[in-house]
Amino acid sequence: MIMSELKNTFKDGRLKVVLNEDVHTDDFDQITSLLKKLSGITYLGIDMHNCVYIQSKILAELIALKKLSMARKFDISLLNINENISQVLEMANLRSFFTIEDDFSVFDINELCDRFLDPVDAQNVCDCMAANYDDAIREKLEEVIRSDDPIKTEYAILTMGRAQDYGGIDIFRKELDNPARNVRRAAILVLGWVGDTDSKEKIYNFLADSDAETAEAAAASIALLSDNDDSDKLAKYLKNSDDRVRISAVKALSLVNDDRAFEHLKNAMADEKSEPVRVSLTKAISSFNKEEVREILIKLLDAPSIAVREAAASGIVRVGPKNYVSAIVNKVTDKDSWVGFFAAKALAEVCTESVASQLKNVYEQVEENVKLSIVEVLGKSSADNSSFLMERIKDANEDIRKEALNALDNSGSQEAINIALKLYDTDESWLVRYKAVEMIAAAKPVGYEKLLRLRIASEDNRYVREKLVSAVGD
Amino acid sequence: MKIKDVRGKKVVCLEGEINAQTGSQVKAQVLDLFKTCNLAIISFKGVVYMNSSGLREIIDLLKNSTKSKKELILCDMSNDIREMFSFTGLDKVFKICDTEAKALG
Repeated sequence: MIMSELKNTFKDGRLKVVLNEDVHTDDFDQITSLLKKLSGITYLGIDMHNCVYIQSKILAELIALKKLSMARKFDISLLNINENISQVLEMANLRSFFTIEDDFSVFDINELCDRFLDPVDAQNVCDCMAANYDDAIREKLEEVIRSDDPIKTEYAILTMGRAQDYGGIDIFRKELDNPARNVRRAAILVLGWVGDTDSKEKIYNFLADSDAETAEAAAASIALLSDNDDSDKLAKYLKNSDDRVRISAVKALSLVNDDRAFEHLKNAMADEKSEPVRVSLTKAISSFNKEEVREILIKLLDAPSIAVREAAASGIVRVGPKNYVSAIVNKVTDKDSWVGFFAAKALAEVCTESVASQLKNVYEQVEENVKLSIVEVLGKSSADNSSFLMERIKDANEDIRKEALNALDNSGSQEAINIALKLYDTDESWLVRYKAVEMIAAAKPVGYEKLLRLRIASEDNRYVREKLVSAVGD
Repeated sequence: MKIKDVRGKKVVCLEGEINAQTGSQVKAQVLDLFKTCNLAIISFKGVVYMNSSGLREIIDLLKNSTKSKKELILCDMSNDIREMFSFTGLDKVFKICDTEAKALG
């Protein structure tokens, strides 16, 4: 058999070798010879994108290279392996033995553009080309766009956009008229990224497109290209008959985020009947830095829709409760436990002694998720809640015990480490033991290494054992 | 906005609201940083509000960084801020890491 020379590159200590389709054991002699010849190797990448399948004798060669890499202290990766080879490695228990990566730098431009057709690789190819963008790549992408393949054209446009190729604006504008919707969508997005305000009016035509993704892309780009007049124009779409169009308009107005946008969103909330749109409006309203927002969100905590109440509670967490603490405390016992959960969370930054006392008083009335939230908030409180939290260490619910331990730790309680030292080998829940080990490893009390090392042998949970080993070594 | 040095890498910590004015200040300061370094990590941990004008300034910062062959990594975004990037497709344009530790590598 005539062996062909393997394609390889060597730069900054990194050697990459491309195996041929009919990979043979002699190929590895070439790699070994390269490793001997080249000095200062820190990395060896073995590209296998040409290989459809490998035999067991090739596995033996790969293992030999791995051993060599350990002896000579360089990293080794298998690059661009297909599913067949991945399975062979899995069956031989070698999957974790090697670092496996995608690396598109070994492909030429034509091969890369062909990979736009692979739904798994397309995004990564796009990243790779944008990161290495130059005139040759630009020329090839323009050629792809001139072809009739809509998928390749879509990714070529996105790549130019990612590479911030402002010179491509005329191309992107032209593709707004492409018959393929995925190409039009890509052009809409990229025109927003490059700030082409001249295209904005045309992009408005896509805001009520029958394709939801196109409509959303149009809304996003209009928001990016917006000026003082766009809130009023976008607001007209809040009355569209299609829920998806109204949601896109809500998102765009939220991003524009000016006074007009706020007024339109607030008014829409009064008339809107659709639950998904009302949830979207609630989230959008919470994105405005206005005092009025808290009042609106607190009122929405009484909305008939659970989803709206949850969105409102989550919004309050985002903007902070400020002057509405007592109203939020009252919501901790809401009939929807998720409202209670978020209401309690919203109090984290303002958990004074008085608030902490109210939370402790309602603790037994609320569901488990709200209890968890209360315990977490008490750990962030300025008041001393250590005796309450220590009681929670006896709770039957392992999540609450773990959270109580965490809260004691967060509150800086002197007792926290003593409790962790009791629980790390006695609590029946691995979650609690894991947290206890984490606290001990961080606090490093006298003799902790010996204690933790002794525990390794009897610990039956692999996560806790790994935590122990990472803290004190095997 | 605070700038800290972590293991020789510059981390720019944004705070409060990112709008046209604050976004423009961020852009100017990061471009100034690039006179002495090749990588800046921008932490959004303290950002509560951001609008399209602020986002445009961050895009413009990326444009200038790319032109001068400097690297920009964004990190520590809340779900709401991250949603803005994904809504506009900009999550595919910027390099975004979940945490500052991941951004530092």
